[in-house]
Amino acid sequence: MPDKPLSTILVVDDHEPARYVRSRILRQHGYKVIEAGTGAEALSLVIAAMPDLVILDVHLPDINGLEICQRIKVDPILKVIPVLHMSATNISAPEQVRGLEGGADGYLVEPVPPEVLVATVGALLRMHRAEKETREARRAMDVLIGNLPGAAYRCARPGGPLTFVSVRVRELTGYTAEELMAAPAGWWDLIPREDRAALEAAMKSNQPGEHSEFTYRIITKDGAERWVWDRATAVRFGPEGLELWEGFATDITERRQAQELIAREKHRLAELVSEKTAELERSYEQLRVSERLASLGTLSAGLGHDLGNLLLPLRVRLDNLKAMELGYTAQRELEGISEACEYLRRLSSGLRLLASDSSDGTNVHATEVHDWWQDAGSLYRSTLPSQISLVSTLPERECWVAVSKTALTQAIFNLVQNAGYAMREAAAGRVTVRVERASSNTWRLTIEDDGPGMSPEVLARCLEPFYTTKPRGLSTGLGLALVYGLVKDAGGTMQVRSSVGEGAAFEITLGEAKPPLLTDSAQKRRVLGVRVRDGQLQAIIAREAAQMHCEVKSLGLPDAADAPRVVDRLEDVGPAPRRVLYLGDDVAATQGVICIGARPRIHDLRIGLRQLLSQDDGHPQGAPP
Amino acid sequence: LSNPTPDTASVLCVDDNKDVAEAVRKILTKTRGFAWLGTLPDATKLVEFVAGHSVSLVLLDIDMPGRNSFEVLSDLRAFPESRVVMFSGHASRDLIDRALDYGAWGYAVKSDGNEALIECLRKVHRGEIALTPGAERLQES
Repeated sequence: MPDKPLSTILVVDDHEPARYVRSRILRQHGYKVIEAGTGAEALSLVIAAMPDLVILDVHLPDINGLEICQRIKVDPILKVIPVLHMSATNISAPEQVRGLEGGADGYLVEPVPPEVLVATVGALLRMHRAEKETREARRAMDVLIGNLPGAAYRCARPGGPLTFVSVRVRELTGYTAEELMAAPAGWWDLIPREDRAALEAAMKSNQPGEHSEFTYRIITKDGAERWVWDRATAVRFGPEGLELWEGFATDITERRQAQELIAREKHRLAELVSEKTAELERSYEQLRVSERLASLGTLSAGLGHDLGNLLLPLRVRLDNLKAMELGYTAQRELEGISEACEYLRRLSSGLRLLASDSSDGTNVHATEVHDWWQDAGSLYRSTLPSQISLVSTLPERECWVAVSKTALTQAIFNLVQNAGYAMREAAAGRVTVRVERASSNTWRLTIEDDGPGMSPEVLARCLEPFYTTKPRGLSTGLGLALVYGLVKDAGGTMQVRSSVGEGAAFEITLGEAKPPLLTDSAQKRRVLGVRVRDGQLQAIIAREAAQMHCEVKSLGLPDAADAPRVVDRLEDVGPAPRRVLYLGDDVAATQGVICIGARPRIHDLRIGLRQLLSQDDGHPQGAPP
Repeated sequence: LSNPTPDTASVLCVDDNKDVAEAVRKILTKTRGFAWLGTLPDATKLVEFVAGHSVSLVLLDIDMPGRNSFEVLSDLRAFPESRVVMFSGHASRDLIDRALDYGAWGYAVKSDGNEALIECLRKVHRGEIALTPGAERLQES
């Protein structure tokens, strides 16, 4: 075997001929042989040459062969060298046992046939090589495992003690490999108690030899929670035999956190998208609806306007005709036409009321119901099918409710229109609008029909925005919600009563309002002195003052030197208090003097006058010197 | 403050709607206290007309082709003896305030009818600010 790496064998024997024979045989078989005659020599050669095998005669003159073997086997480096004892004298079984127990790898009793010697040496060298390779592999494996970011482990069963765990387990768990291997439940001690059953079930379900992956939590030595990815293999011997688990666990906490974050963000994004989509759909629907409402508003405003434009010449001509000497029949016809004109005029103001924005804040929140019904009633009448009659029951005396006329018109319009729609197929029907006292300071408006009524489901939902029982093209579904909103804005309440076959009744309760123009004689009369050159401006001031129940007195025309004297002049008007609203830019505002520009807008003028007149008379501010 | 003028008010109507103009003519010609001056179809030559004639009242439509009525209104400030009443098919609080700011003395809503118009013109001629009921309602606050 010339191409095989040459194995070195140390032959130790004090008997030279025997040593020679053995060496020769081995050399003939391709081994490199070194020889020693004494124990001391043998030991120094073992250390110096590191032979692959030592053939050791048991009986040596200086150191006993058994002792030499023991010395080799206790040395951490030399112990890997196989030792073969040979003896011609120590041949009893106990002696052989002693030799082998002392660490020898073989024991041959002389005489040994050459081929047995060669075969034994070959076997021992093979074993030595295998051991060396295993050691090498183990070392490489240790390096490899040491470099992996995690822990390799082995245990008899899930929840059993660890028979092996690699050193880097300390980075993963905070415990050293020794600490973990000493723990009776091994790896299991790291896993939160509540997670163990599920993990054990998952591990037991895996087939022997099959790789399985598990993800679970562990609690480290310092109490932190880490997520672990574990790839493990179960090795089972026989049906009921030994089970062995080998696995590799690594820290995936950060990866998992990132994944969770991504999942959360993804979820949030999906939610956001659906939320925005719904919002978009809603606003699209609202846009469509409000566009339609706006165009309806424009239409009715335009209609009201055109009607008004047509009516004026019509009425003039009627008046002219009436002035002529016409016969009785013709006069009656004319009266009929006049009535129709009057109806149209009311319709036109009703339409304008319907078209104006009830939320623009400029409306008076007090409406007299008789006055309102004059305009609104004809409008409502015109929206009902011809077979449906409209009946009103109003209080005998003046009745003021706390709602603007436009809001009231629009709210009741919706209710009357709904009633008409509900009864569109009836042969006859009636819509009743009733106004009556609800309490000492509230009024109840009831809009009642004798139509088919509402089912409990419809009744429950009828005030929801966009809910409608009419075809989409005919209704925005906003009607009743709008009514409800108008009533609520006016501080009122609304109730619906209805059942199938019993008609429907909407009851609106509104507060009682004070008539807006108080002609309270007890109110102290105030006098406003006016000294303004512009006639129109003077007229405007007079009108505004009259609305604030204030008497106006002209102080003559102003002159250039007026400004410093404005306050003094007020003495002409009456007793104190005296305050001035100065229309100019050349006097600084002082106590008692309110300055607005030389040509104030009517809006600013109103504010100024209100300020001027609203100050409490009992506490004059800034009386002039 | 009021300046009662027992004399007749001469009225000029500016409206592109011939029917309306004709109706106003018929009302005013048969009502005492008014002298009918005529009709202008738009406001282009209004200032010129007022400068050259003695006009007590101008009934000025708001929506007309040609010159913007508010612009003309502001020009007419130069003739304080000619008082303008805005004349329109519709009214809003804004429109009325704007008219008064620009110097109008009155605001008449066409559909308010003959009596209301006459009453409005009479008041203005007496030196009062006057709105017909349809406009007055919007002013209440």
